[in-house]
Amino acid sequence: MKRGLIQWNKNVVPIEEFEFRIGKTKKTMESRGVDVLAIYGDACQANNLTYLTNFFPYADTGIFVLPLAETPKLFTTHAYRNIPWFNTITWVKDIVCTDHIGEESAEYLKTLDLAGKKTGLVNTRSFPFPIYSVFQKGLACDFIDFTKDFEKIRMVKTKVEKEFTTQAAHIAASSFERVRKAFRQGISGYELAAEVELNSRKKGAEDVLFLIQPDCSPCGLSLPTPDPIEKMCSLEISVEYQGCWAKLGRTLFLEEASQEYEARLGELSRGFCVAVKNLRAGSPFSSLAAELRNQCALSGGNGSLEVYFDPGLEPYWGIHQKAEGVFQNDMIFHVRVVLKSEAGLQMAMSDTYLFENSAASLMFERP
Amino acid sequence: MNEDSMREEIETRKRKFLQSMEEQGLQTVLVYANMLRKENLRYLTNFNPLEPGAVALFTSKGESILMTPVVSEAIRAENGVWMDDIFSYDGEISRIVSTLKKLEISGGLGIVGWEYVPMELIKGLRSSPSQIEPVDATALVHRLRVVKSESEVQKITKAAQIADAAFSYLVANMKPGMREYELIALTEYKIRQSFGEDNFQLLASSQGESRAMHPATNKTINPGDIFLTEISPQFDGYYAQLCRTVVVGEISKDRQKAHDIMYRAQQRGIEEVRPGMTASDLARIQNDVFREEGYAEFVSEKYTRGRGHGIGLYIDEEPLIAEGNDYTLAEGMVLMIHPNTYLPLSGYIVLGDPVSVTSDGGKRLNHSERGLIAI
Repeated sequence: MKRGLIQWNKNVVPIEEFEFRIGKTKKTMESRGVDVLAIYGDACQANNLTYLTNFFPYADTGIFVLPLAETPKLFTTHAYRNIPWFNTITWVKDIVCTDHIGEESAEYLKTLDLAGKKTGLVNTRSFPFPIYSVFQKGLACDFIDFTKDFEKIRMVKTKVEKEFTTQAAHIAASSFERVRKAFRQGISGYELAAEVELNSRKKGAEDVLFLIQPDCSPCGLSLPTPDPIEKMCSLEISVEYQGCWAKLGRTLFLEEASQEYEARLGELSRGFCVAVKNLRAGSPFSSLAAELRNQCALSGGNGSLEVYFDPGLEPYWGIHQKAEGVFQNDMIFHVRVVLKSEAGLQMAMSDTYLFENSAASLMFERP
Repeated sequence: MNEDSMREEIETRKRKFLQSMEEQGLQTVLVYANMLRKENLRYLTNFNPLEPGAVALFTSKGESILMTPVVSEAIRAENGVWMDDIFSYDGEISRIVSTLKKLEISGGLGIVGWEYVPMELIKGLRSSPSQIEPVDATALVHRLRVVKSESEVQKITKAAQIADAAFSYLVANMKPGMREYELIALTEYKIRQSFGEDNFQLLASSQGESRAMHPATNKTINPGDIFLTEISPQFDGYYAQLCRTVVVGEISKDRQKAHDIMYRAQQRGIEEVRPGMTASDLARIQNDVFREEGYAEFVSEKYTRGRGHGIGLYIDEEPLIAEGNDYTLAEGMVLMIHPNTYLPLSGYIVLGDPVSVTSDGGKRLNHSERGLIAI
């Protein structure tokens, strides 16, 4: 769960930023004939909720009810004692603290006279059934899944989001440098994680996730262990800064690492660069994986190549292979590739890109 | 804990779980995990998901299946997870439904994690041709989890030692002028160095106006501040917690008095906790100290959440130590005893330690000093 710096700095993120996001959302609601949105989030999956409100239910859950015309309201399972802190992070004035967010938010929705109208639900992948059930029983309206519409809105980043992701990328890159310097034979994943935590949190990271695959472990990229690293490791550093994530992953070798490793990594790196360079606005997300496989095959790679893609919507997870959409300007995306050679070598690489002016550029200096 | 012992413990848990299923007349149970609540799945499978939506199925015939939302998670689960089958459902709810269909469920389907199971999954189950009707079966696992085994207590004890180390490191390095989020960096660093896999931490710093703790802000730690923190490191899946209050500068008489009252309340709770008493009894024992001192008003929900809670694979487990909760305490439970509260003498102050319930009273699992600390 998150425990880094969480704030609303009004000098950096003026209220107009949230008004703009709300405006974009309402426009899409109107075009879909939706009268009100109910956006669900919890302490580990609040990105959609936070996007519109900057609210974060740090240990519990929340629902943001956004009607087209009436007052928006936040419902949370946190206690009223937390309101002074909530007031420092969100512009929403109407916050209801309750153990029964389903019932309480349904009561509010009832006052909006929704008979025969449409209520859009956001986060249906995590929207709890018990809350949905309360809505269904108590409200005479149609429910539609608004998640994809909402994600389309979020995929196009504002200037503020791009700045925050750039900051997240810089923090990730500086933490990677610390890891590179600390990397030595016998060091454990936990010791490397300690370096990442210290550096990232000191620089204001809101959240951090460090994944590591020591010595081609069959587990793939996973949480650190106390075991000493012998020859090499792949790692991925994910950093969140003010709600925006950047990921950086590389494979590190000790001096005695085989030349084959180095050669394969070079091929992977070159294939990655060419595939990203070939991206065009309007190309489907799936084209990147195809191009990566193509490039890595062209560069003589054998074995398998796994490609994971996240269009900048989820927290540190979300490396789904099935994300839908097309590349468009002002988009941020994360890519992880994992190369597995026939000889059992495994290496991973993760990058964060900004797609702007019809071209993708890396959000940090290539390590 | 070595792999053989862990496997044996997981098999024991599964056997007990199957017995509970049988008693409830459930042929199949689905255990759902999101990123906030993955403790039930971890308890029964030893799998620690990194993506939301992992699902485990258990049948009364003893079959066990783990389904992950993405392929990389299924690969991770191939090690240290002992299930009959492990595969990725690739984000397609229909694949979970079809797997259930193959199991030919005739009785009800129990769901563990009902409170947060996503609507898409239940809708998928109900709309399947076999019209599977799910029911809440979360209590089956909670009942098993609430009393800890010896190895579970050992892991919580290790997490408690990590919390001790992290807090000592924090106090030794915190200085006026530092920002709240920089203090988080210090504890996270020490926790990772001590092999803590995760942490949940809240804090607050003020001249006494705090009513609750919260995530870190960019506020500066100032002379005269009262600083509160709750550090909750996780070791091998298990959390422990440590709540402490630090004064930046000299300790005033009022702050010392407030802390003394809270200390006595906690001490009484630790000494008098016994198997067979209720969570309400344990809360009352602590609250009575505040009442005796003339602060009866400040034991209400307006000023405090409760006098503690269970702890284990989740940071805030049953039972909540609060008056009115008739949950009976048992030997082997691990509880946080923390009479954290707002008092007008000091503002919000905290003191909390993990304690295992024994027939001789509470046994503290950590070693940090419990007095009010000045830096």
